[in-house]
Amino acid sequence: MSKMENGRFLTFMIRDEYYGVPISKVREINQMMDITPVPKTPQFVEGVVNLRGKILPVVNLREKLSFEKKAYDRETCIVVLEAVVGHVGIVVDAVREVVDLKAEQIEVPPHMGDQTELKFLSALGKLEDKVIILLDVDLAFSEEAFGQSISVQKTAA
Amino acid sequence: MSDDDFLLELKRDFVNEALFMMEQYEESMLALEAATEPQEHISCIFRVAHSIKGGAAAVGFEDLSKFAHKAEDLLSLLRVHAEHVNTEIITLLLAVGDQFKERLAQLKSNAEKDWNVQDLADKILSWIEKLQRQINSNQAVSEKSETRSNDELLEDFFSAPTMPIVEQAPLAEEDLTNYELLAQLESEKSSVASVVDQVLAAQKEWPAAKVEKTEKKLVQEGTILKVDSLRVDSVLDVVSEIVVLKNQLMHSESVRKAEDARLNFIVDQIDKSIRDLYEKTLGIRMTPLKSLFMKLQRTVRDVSVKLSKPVDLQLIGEETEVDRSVFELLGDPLMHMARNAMDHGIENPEGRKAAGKPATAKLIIAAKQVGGSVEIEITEDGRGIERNKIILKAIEKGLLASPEEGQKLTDQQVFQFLFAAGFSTAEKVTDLSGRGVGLDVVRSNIEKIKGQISVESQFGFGTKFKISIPLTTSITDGIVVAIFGQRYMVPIHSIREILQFYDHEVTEVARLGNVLRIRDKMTPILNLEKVLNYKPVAQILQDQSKAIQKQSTYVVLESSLGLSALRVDEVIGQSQVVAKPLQVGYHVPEFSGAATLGDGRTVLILEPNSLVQSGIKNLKEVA
Repeated sequence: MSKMENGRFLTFMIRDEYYGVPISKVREINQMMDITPVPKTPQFVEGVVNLRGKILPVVNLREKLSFEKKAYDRETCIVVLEAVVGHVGIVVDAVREVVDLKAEQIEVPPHMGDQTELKFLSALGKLEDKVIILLDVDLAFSEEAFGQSISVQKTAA
Repeated sequence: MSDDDFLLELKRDFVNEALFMMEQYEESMLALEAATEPQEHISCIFRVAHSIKGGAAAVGFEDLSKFAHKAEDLLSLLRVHAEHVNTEIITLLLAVGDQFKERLAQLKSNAEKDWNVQDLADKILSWIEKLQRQINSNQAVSEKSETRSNDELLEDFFSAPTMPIVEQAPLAEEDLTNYELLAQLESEKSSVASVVDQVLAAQKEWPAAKVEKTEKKLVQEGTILKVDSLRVDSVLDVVSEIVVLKNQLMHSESVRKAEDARLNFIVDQIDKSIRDLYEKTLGIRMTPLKSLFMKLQRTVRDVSVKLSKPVDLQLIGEETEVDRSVFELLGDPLMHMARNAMDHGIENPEGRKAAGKPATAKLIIAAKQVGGSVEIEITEDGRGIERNKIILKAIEKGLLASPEEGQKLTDQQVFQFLFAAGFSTAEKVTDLSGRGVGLDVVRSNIEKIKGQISVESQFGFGTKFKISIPLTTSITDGIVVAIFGQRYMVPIHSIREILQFYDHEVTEVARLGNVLRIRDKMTPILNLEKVLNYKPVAQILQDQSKAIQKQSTYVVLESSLGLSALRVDEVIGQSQVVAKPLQVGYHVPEFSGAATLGDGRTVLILEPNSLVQSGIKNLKEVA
């Protein structure tokens, strides 16, 4: 399991939970835009978008976390992350504030990440009023993460 | 920036600079061979060796600097006694250049490998000694043979253009120390030295040229900018985006319906300027074929010496420009074909005499722009391709059933076998070519840049290879179609035609799926639902069942596996786009990339070869 370092995190919502990614991995936040679906890609890959001349894949985080999809609304955003595979956009229900987490506020619960597919949910950030689920961007969008899911999908089809 | 970073950057700058200079080195080397006035080329080569020596020492590449120093010693001798330049020396200097490049490449990639140039350095030294002896014996002790003082030497050195002492007073043994001093002095005063060289080179044109004048000339010549190609690409990215935004602006309702004349005027002007900007930006990426041709010249020369096949090489159209991306992928195939022509095409001098041809063979490499593509022809007057030999070989490889079948084919079809994988007709494998991985690799490389290759040959008289490549690969010309409600682009070079058929004209053939009869040719219809794993939406299915008597539009695709038809909902229009790779963890071979259309929408670009391939695979699975 990779270590989550303390620092600033961008928080966003999926369903009613708070999620967070290190701000250093966030490239930009965009309003929802036209997504072009790409056949033969894993379910969670919503498609590609053109971001000022760059074509980048967009992942539906709800789908990746195995939640039911939700219709886009005014709050739906695409957060562009810098992952090892390049820039990846994630569709989130809504973007919230940036929070500061000290080392003692970050906890790695032992039972989390047992499921290999969800091991990118690497830690929890504890604030007074809420708990933030922290994502390891590199784990979530590694080459394997994309590759594996393809093979999973292939055998299922 | 820390000191380490600074040194690192200096080193990087030096390596890039030096590699750039090596191009000049090579250029002059090749010019040297044919030159009647070798001196100016030698001077140029000298300058490069000299700059590498100085630069390498400054950033701590001691071994490179030392080696360059040795080369410089030899070159400074030759500069004055250019008449001693011979083939052996040229070969030596070419080898020296190779070592420079090798070391620079190593330094660039940080791969610290062994770099052993002792042999070469010894060779240089022995040549220096040999030349010294020759020079001394050739020119009897001259009238001015008294040893000159260092001060005098210095004075003479700076009072160019009536340069070198060495020229007037040939080196006697005791002059050697002075000469060495002079060489050292030169290396320390690099700027002065290069000016002096410039003067020397220019002496013939302006006998009375002053040093200041030459300096001005230097500045005027230095108008070439070196820019990292990634930077140009990033500018192109931004410019392409501006083009898209501009198109969206122009298509927006409020602009189209605007009655404000001034607004319309501005939009119109923006349109023109941006188009201009776009074309000019693309132009930056264009590279003349010249440096590639130089490499070819070098290769041909080396092979010619190695095989003892004298050849008269003509290079035509070196100013023809292609996109950088094309340029990079064109090098290997061309080099391969030049080598092939020398090794297999051209006979040895005895063979040529026996065939009644002049001993020196002819090899012409010509490039020219034809519309939106560049044609390169490699023609030699060698032995030509023997049709029957290829047919026999094709039968042996299982590509043809019988000689009779072979005889029915046109020459063009027979020669196409040459490009099949593992097909080599060379009787013996040489270290140059003939390993059977030749022309098929050439073809696949050419196809990578969307080019085509063909052969013409007359047995006994020679062979001509013709390559046709697009000017640029960054712009794709394509037709936008709608398939299952989704837009896709089909590259125009792979579209044979677009036809309408009634649905009842579609025939279902066992194992082949649906086929269309197009001018008596059965053309399979691609089953896109299967190929692209589409889960057919209920509504679309309904539409199809309703539309039995309806006409449908088919795009006939040309691929390496033959023709196939693609049923589309609608042909939307033609568009030129900048194709971007779909680069993430997953790879879908059926799409060669994605692009943004004028209205800002992103479309995927279909890759016909892979589409047809997976279509065939699907059929096999079903069967």
